[in-house]
Amino acid sequence: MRKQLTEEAYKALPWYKKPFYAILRHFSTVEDAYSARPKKWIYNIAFAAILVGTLLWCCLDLGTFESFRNPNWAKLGKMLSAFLHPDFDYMFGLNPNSLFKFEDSVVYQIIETFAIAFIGTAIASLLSIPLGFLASRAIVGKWSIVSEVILIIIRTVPEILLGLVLIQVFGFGPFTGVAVLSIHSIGMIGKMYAEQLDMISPEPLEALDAVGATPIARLRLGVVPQVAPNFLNVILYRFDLNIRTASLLGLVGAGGVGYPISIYSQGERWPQLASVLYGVIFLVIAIDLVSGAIRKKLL
Amino acid sequence: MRSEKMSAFWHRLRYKTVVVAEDEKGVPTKTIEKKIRYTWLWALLVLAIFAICWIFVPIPNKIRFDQISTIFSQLFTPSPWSLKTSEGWWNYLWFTACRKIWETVEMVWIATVLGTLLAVPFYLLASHNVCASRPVNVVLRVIINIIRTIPTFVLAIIGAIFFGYSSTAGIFAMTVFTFGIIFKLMYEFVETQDMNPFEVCISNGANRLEAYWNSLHPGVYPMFLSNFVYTFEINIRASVILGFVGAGGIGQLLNDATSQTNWDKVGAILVPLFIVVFVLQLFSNALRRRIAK
Repeated sequence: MRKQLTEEAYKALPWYKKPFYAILRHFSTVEDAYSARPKKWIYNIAFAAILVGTLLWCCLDLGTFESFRNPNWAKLGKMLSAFLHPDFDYMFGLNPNSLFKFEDSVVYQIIETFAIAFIGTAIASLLSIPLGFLASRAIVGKWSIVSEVILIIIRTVPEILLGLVLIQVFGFGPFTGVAVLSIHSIGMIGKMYAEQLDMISPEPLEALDAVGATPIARLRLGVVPQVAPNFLNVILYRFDLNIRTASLLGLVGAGGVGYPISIYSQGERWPQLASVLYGVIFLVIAIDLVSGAIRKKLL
Repeated sequence: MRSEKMSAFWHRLRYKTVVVAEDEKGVPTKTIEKKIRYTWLWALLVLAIFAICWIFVPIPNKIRFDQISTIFSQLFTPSPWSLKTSEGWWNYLWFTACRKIWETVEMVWIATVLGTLLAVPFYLLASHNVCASRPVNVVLRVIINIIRTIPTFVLAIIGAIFFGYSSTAGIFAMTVFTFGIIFKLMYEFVETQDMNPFEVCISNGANRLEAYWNSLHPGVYPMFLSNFVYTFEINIRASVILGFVGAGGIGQLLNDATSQTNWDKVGAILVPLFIVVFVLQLFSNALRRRIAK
């Protein structure tokens, strides 16, 4: 912070100290006051220089500019043309002459991804009710910190790591994906539950106290009606995210649509890759629209 | 005629008549219409979907919970066929894993800054109180919302095809991802702002950009910073995934280590990764709480 001095004391200062002191005075005209406004542009230029400098330094350190030197236009063109001609046999798996059965088709994998996300979210939203209650400061008091720390630790583990560990337990397949999602989602859902529980208004609870309600009745009539729409909102939001997570868990073999994507992108089989990607994008958009409609109805 | 019938049908489905008052003979004198709640039906529907979903998720016939303890014991004991000694474990942690994590942080920094800066003009054009042209708003929102639906690792694959399998692909993917998130969060926030100062600026002769800069920007700026920190934190976590499609970063190391089942290497990667993610989370929470005040 700049200290304020009288005008005489300011003028007596050496030049290198002057920027750190402001003059305490009354301005006679508007122009006078305007000319004495703080010099923000110096800070702005310094900030921009630091930003650009760090960016350039990071780019040089990673060799980002090298990869712009010979971009692979031919491969990109091949891929984009495959996006115009996706593999329809693979997409629907209905052609009996082709190699792909319905069990290997995109439609089946999309449904599987949806199932993983749905079951994972459902289990996680049930499991995080006790943790959320325990993490709410308004209900538990100072001991809520224990549950909060548990939730933070759960949130810190990247889902793909959890997938790598749980694959050893449940083996390859969609069940691993369900397990990963139902553990990993607890962190965020529980935290948001706790936030909603902290925000409930105490008046209905006081009224129920005044008429002598039992604890169960207090919970059922005082707490649940207040938090239920918000809880549903949280679950829907997490379900949106889980659809995306479920589609990438396949990269480590935990079921869903990610496994064919990694196989076909490594094998450079663009028509099949294009049809899987269309499937993923369709699924995400559909779920976004549906959950958006439900959320609009809730609020 | 037909539509009237249909509407009567839907009306009967949604509302029921409730007798409020009746005279001595039990003949209703006053009735009101009450909305029927279908909560139990919705619950049943969710349950049905839940049950149907299990068809596609076969339960594995062998569940080996003992694997968790064996993995955890292998994480921190150097095995004779990969890192050999505990000195090798620490060397791997310091010189390979930490180096790679630093690279990841650099990638995320570039991507977050670029994506955020790119999003600024677009969210201004997409918020209807700053840019008054309705078609521009709608077209921008639709296009960017479609871009937003593409999962990050798919973008990383496309980037890897174009730029080659290097960190540039990851930077590309995270830039687009950041762009989408900042765009959505910011235009929704800008639209909730109080418009009175903006109108004052306009009536004093400012154009819309100047008016935004002088009236709305001071209120939007803290949220902008907060969203920047939030996306940085998300990107650090998302960058683990990028390595699995060959787009650089710490995930590549993890992928190599796990595909050879060198769990001691995984442990040496996990320790610094956890510290970075945890510290960043605490830091970003504290910073965002300060910004919000």
